[in-house]
Amino acid sequence: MIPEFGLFSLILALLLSSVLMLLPPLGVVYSRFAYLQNLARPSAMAICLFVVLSFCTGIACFVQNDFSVEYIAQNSHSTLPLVYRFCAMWGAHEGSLLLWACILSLWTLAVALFSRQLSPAMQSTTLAILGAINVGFLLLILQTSNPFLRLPVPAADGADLNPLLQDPGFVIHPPFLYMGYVGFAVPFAFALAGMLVKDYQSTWSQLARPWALLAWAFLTLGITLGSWWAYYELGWGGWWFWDPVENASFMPWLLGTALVHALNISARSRFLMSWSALLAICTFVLSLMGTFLVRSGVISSVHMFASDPLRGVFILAFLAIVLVGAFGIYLKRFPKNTNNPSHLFSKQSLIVLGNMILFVTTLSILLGTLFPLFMEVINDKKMSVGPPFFNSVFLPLVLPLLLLMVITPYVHWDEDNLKALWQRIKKPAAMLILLLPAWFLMKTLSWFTIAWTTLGSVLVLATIMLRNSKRTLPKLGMTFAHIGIGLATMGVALTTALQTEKELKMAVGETVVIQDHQFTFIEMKNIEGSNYQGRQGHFIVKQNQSQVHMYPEKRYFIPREIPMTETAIDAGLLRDIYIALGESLGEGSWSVRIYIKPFVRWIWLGGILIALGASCSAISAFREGVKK
Amino acid sequence: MMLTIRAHLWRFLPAFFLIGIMWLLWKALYIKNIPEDQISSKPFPSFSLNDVRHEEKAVTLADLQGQVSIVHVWASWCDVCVREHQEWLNIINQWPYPLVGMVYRDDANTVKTILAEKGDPFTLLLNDRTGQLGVDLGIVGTPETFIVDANGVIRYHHLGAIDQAYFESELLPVLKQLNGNDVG
Repeated sequence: MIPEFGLFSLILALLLSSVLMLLPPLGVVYSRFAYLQNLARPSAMAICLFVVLSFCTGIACFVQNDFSVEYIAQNSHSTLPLVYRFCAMWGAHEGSLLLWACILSLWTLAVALFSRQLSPAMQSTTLAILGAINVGFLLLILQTSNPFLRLPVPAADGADLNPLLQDPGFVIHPPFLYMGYVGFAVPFAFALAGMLVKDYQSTWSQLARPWALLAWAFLTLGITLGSWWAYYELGWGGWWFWDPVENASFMPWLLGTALVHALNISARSRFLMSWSALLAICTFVLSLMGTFLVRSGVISSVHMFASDPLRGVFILAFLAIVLVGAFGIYLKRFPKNTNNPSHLFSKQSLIVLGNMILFVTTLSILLGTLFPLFMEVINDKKMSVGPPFFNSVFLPLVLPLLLLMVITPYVHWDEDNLKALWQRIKKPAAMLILLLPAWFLMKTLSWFTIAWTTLGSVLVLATIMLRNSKRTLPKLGMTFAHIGIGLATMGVALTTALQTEKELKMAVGETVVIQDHQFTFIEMKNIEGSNYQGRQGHFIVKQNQSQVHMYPEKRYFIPREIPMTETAIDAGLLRDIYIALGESLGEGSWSVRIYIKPFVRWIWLGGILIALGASCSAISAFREGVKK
Repeated sequence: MMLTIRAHLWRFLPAFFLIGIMWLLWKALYIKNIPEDQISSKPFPSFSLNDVRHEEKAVTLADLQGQVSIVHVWASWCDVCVREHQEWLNIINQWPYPLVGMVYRDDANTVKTILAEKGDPFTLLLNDRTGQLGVDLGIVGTPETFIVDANGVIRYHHLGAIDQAYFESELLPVLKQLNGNDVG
């Protein structure tokens, strides 16, 4: 009975979403039915209740090992540890979509709760747009990917969760990522509602700003966690692969970055209104497209033979409706810029310049991501666009962006002149000149690494030295986020340039020296988990006086018969030591991958700082909204 | 009115761009991909046989290598095969991949009669008179069809007759993928 309860809740949520989508707008349009607007908030709350209930039902079925449900039989196993039974819920297609819908309903609830200060028309229009998105996703789940389908005959046991996903990183990574993805639905809804409801044409960006910042913070955390997870779980020590699935989350992030900056201008000065609206629409559309790319199997089709194209068609149709609707509204009543800046050289215009660069960067990543599909459709040729393309396009575009980030905070908002600016940026400029030779002293670095590292460190220092105003919360947010970008840049540059990767054959008892680290292979022993057996190596790593014990593992997951590598990582702020066991080569010797990765932690530290900064700014933007 | 529309035409630009992308994504949904693990990877057994049509010339495994080819096993005594023959003529007419025939335990003259009567789609036509290659290949019954890649490795195996529609939906993607990989 329990799975049916979940299904029933979903159907109820779908009906309520249709109510939310249709009735309150009726009340906005016809004053006769004005009372219908009162339905908006209660139905948003009820939708959330039922979707969350359905989601929890799914989890309950997983915990109880109900293998009469097809989805659970495919993605769980009676020996699966409890914590992974919880998150196996979002381990495959159906459950991920349900998580998507669940998070969307939570965002809808949040808007319903924190929008009481809005006029009824604005409130119900915004909620109705979110309701319409809810309708689309719930229909998609119920029509093509129902996670509560029963098997004709209950399975004796499940097929187990993919071992790659049996990992703490996976427990938290998708929810954060989806919080970000889906969160951009809120600025999207505000932008459309702002265009539809006349009184709000000039103020919607103030309303949308805190939500955009919050969604952006979540997306940043989600991407950071994903990168960290790939680093230690895949066993190759890479932290970014320019893989289409990663790009699908990175593109909304880039546009989201542009969006939060554009909103910062349009919320204050009515300038850039139209552009902000366009960005809000595009960011959400890119999120949807990302969902499509990942979920339809178009990109990972190598893993899914003859996957049902109906799902893809459905998401695509939904995407088309969103596009036509949103762009229709945009073209018909796009907000007019009333207050163009009178001076060319100002903080505003530099932010606009940054926006342009971010937009172009997003487009070029989109090009690289879709180009293989394009070639296959047009030419029937298989090809892949890899890191060489993305690196050579992305890096030159980011370089001016970093320079802008160093200078722009020093520039005055409305008007400035170069002479006055020079007085203010003398110090950071001097630092640039001082730092450059310092990096040059490290002769092993290439000029490219030096350029990047210098820019990163100057960005950090320049942001810290920014003292032209009080340390208010929004300033603090900007400071954290920009320092985060600087740290991440340094991390990326230094890791790439200084890392050591060695693949060796090692026998028990053997010692190798890599750089100034001495690695000794002490022993190999058998281990056993609830659903796997494995071998665990014991290494001692000595450097100067200190020594660490490291235990890399090779696990063999019994239900799915998949071997997995569990890496051992000695994490440090200045360097990571990374050991992954390869194959057994017989006679007690193993192939071992040993990586030394300096500064790799800085990348994720930067990501966390960016998210922290964005949350600070989101909080202060919420407060500003409440004051008004 | 017209003027304002023309003046604002650039605003439709993103819309056109997005429509293009949507079309692309829709087409991409229907691309078939064959996962590596569903493709067999048995090497084609080595052999030295005569071509039915040129008795004097010996054909070996080396003649198969260098391009992706379809190997079709049939016999004149096999009703299903003879009926299937027309389908192969149509298929090769439309998609001119190298088609290597192999007649299994058969009489060369009967085969030639059929070819003369119906047409000849084969690039090579091996005469497996003794059935040795058939045994090496592990033939269950005629007709059978293999796809052999440029390195002489069997990448696809089908038991039974094939028609044009089946070829298009099942074999063609494999052929394209193998050819694509060689190019890439």
